[in-house]
Amino acid sequence: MGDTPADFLEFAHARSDQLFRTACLLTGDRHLAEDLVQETLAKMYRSWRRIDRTQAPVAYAHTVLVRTFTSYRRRRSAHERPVDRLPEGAAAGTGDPDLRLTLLDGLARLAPKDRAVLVLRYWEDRPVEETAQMLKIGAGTVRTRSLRALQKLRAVLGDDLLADLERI
Amino acid sequence: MSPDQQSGRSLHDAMQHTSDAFGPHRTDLVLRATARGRRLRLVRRAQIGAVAAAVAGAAVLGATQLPLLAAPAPPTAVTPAPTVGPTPTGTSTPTRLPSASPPAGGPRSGPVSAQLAAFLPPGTTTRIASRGSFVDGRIIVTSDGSGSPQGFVAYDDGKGRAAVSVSVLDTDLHDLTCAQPTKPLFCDVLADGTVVKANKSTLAGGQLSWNVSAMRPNGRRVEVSEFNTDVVPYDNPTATVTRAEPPLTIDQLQAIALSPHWDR
Repeated sequence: MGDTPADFLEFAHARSDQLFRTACLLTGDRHLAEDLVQETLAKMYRSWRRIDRTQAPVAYAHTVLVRTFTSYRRRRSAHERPVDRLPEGAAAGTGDPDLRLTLLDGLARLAPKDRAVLVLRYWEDRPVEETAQMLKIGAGTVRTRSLRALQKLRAVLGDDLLADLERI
Repeated sequence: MSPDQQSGRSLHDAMQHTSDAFGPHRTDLVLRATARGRRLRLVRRAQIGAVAAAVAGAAVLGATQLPLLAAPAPPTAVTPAPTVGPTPTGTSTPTRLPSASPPAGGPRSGPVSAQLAAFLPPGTTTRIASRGSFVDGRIIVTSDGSGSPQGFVAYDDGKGRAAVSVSVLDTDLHDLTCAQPTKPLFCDVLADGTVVKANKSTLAGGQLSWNVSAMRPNGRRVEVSEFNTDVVPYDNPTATVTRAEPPLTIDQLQAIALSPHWDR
């Protein structure tokens, strides 16, 4: 650890929890989420000296996270299938367990980029334009993907939770 | 709150409960990531070395120069949108009180570098660059990705040029806390809840980086940095040292960071 920049360690410790939570929603699996965060922070470490710390390394980290996720899932897309069983790692915790497991099931049925759009828009509260920039797609595509993903999610979660969400 | 906002909040809350259920990640995650990052950096160096050797070989043979593999640039920074985040809890008695009357600075409009320059003591100031806009307390983020406002100046107090920078951003992530694993120069929570943190770092190239960050309770974060180089060494790792130490004291940096000039 001797040659590890102190400010990188500080950044990584401060941001790893939030990155992990986002990764859990993206992957639905805590082990995959840990791998995703590890890869994200490793890429940050590799480029740390070139990253302009006066800009927004936090936003950069989240961009690396979602792009790593979509890239990884794209390579694995031929093997991806919607899961009917509940994702591993949904351990008992806080909140409504039925809602939690159903949400994970619903997210798992979405295409990776659709999932990323929902997580960025509704979990990280990022505006359409920023979501588009992070995923390297157009703002119109973000809106289309949001609409499509919400319709699929509504089919799993029911109308109560997602009523009126389609108007975005 | 509109129905759309309410529904969006419902999905956000559902995601909150869902992510809570996963619990914390493994405690050694950062250590493993660091080790992985170190390996990635070695691989990159090896690749660059191999390409450089190929270029040199081609030059010897009189061939045209091969393009160097440029490392991918970090994407343009974006400003995190506001989300519901924790508010600072608890206050401590500051070990270093801010000055009684923080400097007001100059006009709250125009290039951010000019706004920063207005805080600097008499000397020679050259505006290097400004990004984004800061007008009357408002952060204007444009769709072209210019991101949060930042200003860079080269300042010379007669002892050598030095880069000084400021950045202003709004976030409710409240990612600046005093509970960090690495010990800062100092970190205080002021009576109004503002977190002030200072660091003095020596970078890999031997350059000095002094920095004060102030996170206000409303999520506005101001970071003021200075270096003993005339360019920002984060952008230029080989930046040459131009003076023994950065020109401003930590107290001066703190005064700039806490100035009401940057308030909403």
